Amino acid sequence: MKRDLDTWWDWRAATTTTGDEDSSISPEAALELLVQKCVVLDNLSPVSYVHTIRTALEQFGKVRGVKLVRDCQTCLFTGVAFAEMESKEQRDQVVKELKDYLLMIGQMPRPARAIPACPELMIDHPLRSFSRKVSARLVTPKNPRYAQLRETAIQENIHYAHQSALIQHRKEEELKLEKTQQRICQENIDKLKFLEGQKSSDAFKLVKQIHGGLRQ
Amino acid sequence: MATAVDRDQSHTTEDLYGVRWGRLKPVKTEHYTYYESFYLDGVEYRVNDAVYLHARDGPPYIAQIAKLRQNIVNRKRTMLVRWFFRPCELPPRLPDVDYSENSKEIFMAAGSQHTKSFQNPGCTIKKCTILCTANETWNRMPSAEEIAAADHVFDRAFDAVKLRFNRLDPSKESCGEFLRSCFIKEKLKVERSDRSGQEVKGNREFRKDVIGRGTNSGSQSNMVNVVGPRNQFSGLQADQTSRRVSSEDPTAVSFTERKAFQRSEGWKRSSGEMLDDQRPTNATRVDLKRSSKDAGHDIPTDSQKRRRLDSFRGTVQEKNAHVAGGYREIEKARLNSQTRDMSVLPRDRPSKIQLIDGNKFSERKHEGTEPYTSLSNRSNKTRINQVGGAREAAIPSRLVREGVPPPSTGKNRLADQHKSSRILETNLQSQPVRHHHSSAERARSSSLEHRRSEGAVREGPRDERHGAYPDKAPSLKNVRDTTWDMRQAKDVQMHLKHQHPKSTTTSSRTQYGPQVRGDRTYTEDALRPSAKVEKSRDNAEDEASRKLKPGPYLEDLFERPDRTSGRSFKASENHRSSGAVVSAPVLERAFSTGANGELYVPSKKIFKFSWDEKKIVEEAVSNGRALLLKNLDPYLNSVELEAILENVLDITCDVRILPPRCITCYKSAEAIVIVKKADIAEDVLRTLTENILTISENERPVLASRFAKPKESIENFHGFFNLEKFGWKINASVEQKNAVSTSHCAQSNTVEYEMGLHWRLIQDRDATAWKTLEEEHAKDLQKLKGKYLKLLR
Repeated sequence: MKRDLDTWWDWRAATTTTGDEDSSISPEAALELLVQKCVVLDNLSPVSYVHTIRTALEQFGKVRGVKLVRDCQTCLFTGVAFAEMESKEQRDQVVKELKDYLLMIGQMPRPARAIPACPELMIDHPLRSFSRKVSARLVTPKNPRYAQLRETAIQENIHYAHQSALIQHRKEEELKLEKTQQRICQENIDKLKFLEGQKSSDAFKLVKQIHGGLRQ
Repeated sequence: MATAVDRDQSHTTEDLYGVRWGRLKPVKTEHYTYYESFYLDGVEYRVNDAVYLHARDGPPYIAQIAKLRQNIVNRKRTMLVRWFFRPCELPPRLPDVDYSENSKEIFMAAGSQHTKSFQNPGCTIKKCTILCTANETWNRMPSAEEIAAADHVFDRAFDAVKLRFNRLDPSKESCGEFLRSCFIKEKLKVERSDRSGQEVKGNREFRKDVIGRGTNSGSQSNMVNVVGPRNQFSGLQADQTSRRVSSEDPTAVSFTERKAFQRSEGWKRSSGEMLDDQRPTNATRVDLKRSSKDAGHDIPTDSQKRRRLDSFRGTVQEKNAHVAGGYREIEKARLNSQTRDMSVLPRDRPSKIQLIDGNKFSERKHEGTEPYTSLSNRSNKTRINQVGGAREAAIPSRLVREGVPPPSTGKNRLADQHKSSRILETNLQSQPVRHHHSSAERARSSSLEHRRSEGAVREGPRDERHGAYPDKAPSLKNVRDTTWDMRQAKDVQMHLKHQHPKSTTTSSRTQYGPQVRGDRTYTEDALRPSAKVEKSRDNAEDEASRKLKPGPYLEDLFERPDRTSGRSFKASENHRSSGAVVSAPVLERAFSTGANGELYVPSKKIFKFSWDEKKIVEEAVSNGRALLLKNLDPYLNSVELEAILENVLDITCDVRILPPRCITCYKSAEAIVIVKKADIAEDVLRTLTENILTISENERPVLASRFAKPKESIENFHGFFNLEKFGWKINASVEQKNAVSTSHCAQSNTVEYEMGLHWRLIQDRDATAWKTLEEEHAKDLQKLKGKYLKLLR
C-alpha cells in the first residue's frame, strides 16, 4: 500500500473535481456540488484504511474518493474520514443506512456514524474560499473595542474548556463502556470455550440427543 | 574566451570521445580524486564554469560545473553540476517571474537533496556566461555592460521542493559553498589555481597510473550521462562565443570582504577542500564512464558497440567541424534511429535521451548552427532592452506614490511591476546595499518617501515592520495546489494522448515515466507549463490572452481593498472618506493595510505544498516552537492564516488548520502554528495575549496557547475488539474469518448488535451534548454583545 497515497490532511487521496476542468462552473458552485456528494464518517476503527472504507461504502453506491483525516503529531488516523459518492442520492442513502443500521467497518462492535459533509469541515480544500477576502487586525488595549473583545475572548476560552471537558467526558464514557463490553465479551467467549470443551462429555451428548432434532 | 591548452597537459591522453582530463586537484578524499578541468576540442572546461548541456532539440539545460571527480576504485569519472532553472521550467504563473522567451533571468536550483535518477548517455556541452546580480554585500555587482554581455543572470534560488524562491545565502549549507566558490572569491580561486600548478608533481605518479590504464584499455567508451532537469524550452539563447565566468575581473572582491568571509562560518570548508560525499544540492551527475576490459564493470551492449564503430568513422569530420564552434551537434539521423520513442515522447516527460555518444559530430553543421546565431542575435537585442527596463524600474514606484497607475500595459506592465517590486524589495533590506546604478537609488528614495507618506496615515508600530521583511513573499510561498498531485498528471496524460494518439504508449511511459520520490514534486510541476502551453496551442487567441494575463490571481494580488474595508470597519471608512488613506499601491505586494492596521488577504486558489512530515511537528512541539490558535473561523484556510500571521505579527511560520474536534459541531476551528525559534513563539504568545487578534468580519477573537494536545494513539480508540486478544481462536474457514472482520451491518439477534447499540447511544448522547453546548455558547455570546450594545447607547 502506497504511503503517499494518503498523507495527513490534504486532499490528495480524494479525486475531487475543481473548477479547473470546466470553467463554466464557478468554484463556489463546484464546491456546492461536491459537498452534496460527500459524507463524513466518524467512529471508525484505527486500523481501517481507504480500501476498507471504500469497500464498506460500495454496497450503497460508487465511491469516488476517500480521504482519511490524520493527526498532525503522529500522522495516525483519527477515526474521521471523508468519502465522496457518485451522487447526492447515494450520499443520502449512506447517511440513512448508517443511521438505521449498525454498520461496523473493519472492526466491531462500535458502529460507524455518518453525517452529510459541509464546507466548514472540508478544511484546506482547494475549492474552498476561492475569491474571498479575509480581514484581520490586531486590536491593542488602546482601542475602544478592546474591552468587549477581551471579555469575548475570556468567554470563548471558557467555551473551549467546556468543549474539552465534553470530549474528556466522552472518552471516559467510552472507556467505561469498553471495559464493560470487554467483560461481556470475555464471559461469552468463556462460555463458548466451555461448550467446546464439553463436546465430548456425556452430558453434552445427552443434550444433543434431546435437542438434536432442533439443531438440524 | 576559451583558454589555450596548456603545454604540460599535452601528455594527458585524449580518450575516444575527445575528452582530455586536466590537472588533478591536490585534494583527494577516500573515494575520489578531483580534476580541475577537462578539455574537449581544445576548449577547457573548468570547475565553476557555466555550461549549456544540450540534450536534444530546443534550448539547452543551464548548469554550472561543480565538481569533476573520478572514483578511485572503478575509475568512473563524474561531473557534478548545479542546475539552473529557466523561467519556462518553473511552475506557471508565479507572480514575480518573467515568462517571456527572451527573459535573461534564470534561477538557481535549490532545495532538493535528491539527485536525478535518469541518465542521458551523451550530450553536447558548451560554455555560457552566468552572472549573479543579487543585490547583496557579498556579491560583486556586475556592471550593466557585463549583464548585457552575459547569457543569463540570476539573483534568486528556486526551491524545487517547497516551490518558493529563496534568497541566495552564502551562509547556508546547501548553496553556500557553491556561491562562495563561484562568485565571491574569484581572486582567491585564481591564486589557488596558480598554486596548484606546483602540486601537480606530487600527483603525477598517480596520474600516470590513470593514464596507463586509459591507454591500455583499447576499447573504451565514454558515456556522458547527463542527469538533468526536465527540458521545457521554448526559446533558444545560445551564443557562439564561449566565455568564462571565473575569468571576469578577479580583482573585484575587496580584501575586507574576503576577510569577512574567512571569518564567517564554514568558509574553510569551501576554500578548496572538496568534501566529497556532500554533493551540492540538486547537483546531478554527468558521468564520463569508462568501460575498460580489465575493469570489466561495464559490458558494452550491441548498440554501444555499433555506436563506437560509428564514432571511429566520424572522428575526422568531427574534428573539422568543431574548430569554429563549441557545439557538438547531434547527428539527427542516428538520434532518430536510436531514440525513436524519445522523439515521440511528450516533451515534458523526463526522458532517457541518447544524444551524442561521444564523438560523432554533425556533418550538417550549417543546419544546426544557423538558427542559433540568428536567434541569439535577436535575443541579444531584446535582452539589452530588458536590462534597460530593469534599470528604469524606479519610475513606476514614483508614479504609485502620486497615485497614478504605471503607464505600461499588458505584459510589459506586469514585467515592470515585477522588476520594480524587486528593486523595492532589495532596497528595503537592512543590510548595507551597494549602489551600482543611480536609478536604483532613485527607486529607493522614492520608495522610502512613499513609505513615509503611508506611515503617517497608519497607526501603531506595524507600518514600519510591514516594510521590514523584504524576502518574504506570501504570494510566492503558497504556489502549491495540492490537488495537482494525482489529478494533474492524469490531465496531462490525457492531453498527450490527444496529441500523439498512437505514439504515447504505456511502454514508453513505463520506461521513462517513473521517478524517484524526491523528484516527483519537481517533475509534476514541470508538467504544468507544458500542459498549459499545449492546451493553448489549440487556439491562438487563448495563447495571446494568456500572455497578456499570466494568471487569474495576479490582478487580484494587487487588488485594492475597497468594499470590504468600508463595510467591516467604521474607522477605516472614516479615514477613507476624509481621503487620508493612500490608495493601495501596486508595490504593496498582495496585502494592503488600511487604517488601524487592518489587513486584507485576498484568498487564492493557491495552496502550500503538503506539510505532512510529523517530524516537523514533533520537533517543534518538543522545542516549544509550536502554538495552538483556537476559536478560528472554520472557513479559514491554512494559507490565509499563514499570510495573516506573517503580516500582522511579522513572523515566518508554518500553519495548519487542525481537523475538527467534533464533526457534528464545527463552529470553530483550531490551528497549529510553528515558528522558527522558541523565543519567537513566546513573543507571539505575549503579543496575542496582550492584544487581541481578530480575523474575519464577525470579529471573533483568536485565542493562543502553547501547543499541548494529547497525542493520538491507538489506545485512545475504544470499542474495537480483537477477539484473539481474549484467547478466542476462530476455528473457521478463511471466508468466515473475513466475514467477521470485514464491514457488515450487525444482525439484530447477536451479541454484537447489543454492544453496538450501546455505542450508538453514546454517539447520539454526544451529538446532543455538543448541540446543547453550542446553543448555550451562542446565548452567552449574544448576551455579551447585548451588554456592550447597551453600553454604547
